Amino acid sequence: MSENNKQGVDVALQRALELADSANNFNPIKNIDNPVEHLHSNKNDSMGKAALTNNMPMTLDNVAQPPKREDYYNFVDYRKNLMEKSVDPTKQSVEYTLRVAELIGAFRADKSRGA
Amino acid sequence: MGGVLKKALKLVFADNSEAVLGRLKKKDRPLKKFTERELIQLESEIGVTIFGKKPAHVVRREFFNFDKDTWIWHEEIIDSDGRRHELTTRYEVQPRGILKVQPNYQYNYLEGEELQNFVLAVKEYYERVSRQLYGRDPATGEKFSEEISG
Repeated sequence: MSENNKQGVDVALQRALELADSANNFNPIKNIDNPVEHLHSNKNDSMGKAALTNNMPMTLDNVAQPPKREDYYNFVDYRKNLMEKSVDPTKQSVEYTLRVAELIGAFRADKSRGA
Repeated sequence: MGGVLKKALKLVFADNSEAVLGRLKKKDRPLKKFTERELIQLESEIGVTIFGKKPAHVVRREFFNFDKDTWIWHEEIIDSDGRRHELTTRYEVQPRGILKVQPNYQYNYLEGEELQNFVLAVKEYYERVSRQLYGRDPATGEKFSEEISG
C-alpha cells in the first residue's frame, strides 16, 4: 500500500471513529423499532411522495388518516429527549450528515485508487 | 430544475448507465479502479433500495450523496395521461440546517418528521454502501476481510 493510500485509509478510519462516537450520542431514531420499515411506509414518505407533490409531510393522506397516538407520543419523546439534553436536532443532523458524507468521500477516494 | 444541477445529473447518470452498472458489478474485477462517477452510480443503485420497491408509475429513481454538502433525490414518473415528469430535489447541508431545494425556487429547511426521515435515509445509505460497495464495517470503517463489491 502506498503512503497516499495509507493516509486515505487512516483518515477514513479516524472519521469512522468520530462517526461512531457521534452515533452513540445522537440517535434520532431511538423510538423507531425498524428504520427501514419506517422509511418504506407511505405515511412517512417525505422523501418520495411528498417531495413529488412539493408538499411538506402533512399531506392529504395525513388529514384523512390522522397520525396514530403512539406515533405522536414517540415524536414527543424524541423531541423531549433532545430538549432535556439541550441538543439542537438540526445542528446534530447537520453534523451527522456532514460526517457521513466525509466518510463516504474517503471511501470513494480509497476505492478510486484501487485500494 | 437548475441548469447546473441537470448537467451534473447527466454527467453522473449517462444514458448507458445500466450497461455501465452491469459491467461494474462483475465480481471478477475486484481490483479495478473506479471513477468517482461510477462509484456514485453504484451508490445510487444501493441508495434507492432504502425506499423499497418503486410504485408502477415511477420509472426511475435515484438517491445519492453528490458531494460533502449535497444529497440528491431524483424521480421520473409517468402520469395517467402517459406523460413523463421528472423532479429533482437537492438537499444542501448548511450550517443552519438541511435546505431542501426544488424547482421553481421552492426551498425550505427540513424540520420535524421530514428532517428525521432525511437523517434516517442518510444513515441507511451510509450503512448499506459501506457494507455492500466499499466492504467496510460502518461502525469502525475497517475493511472486511473479503470485500463485497456490487
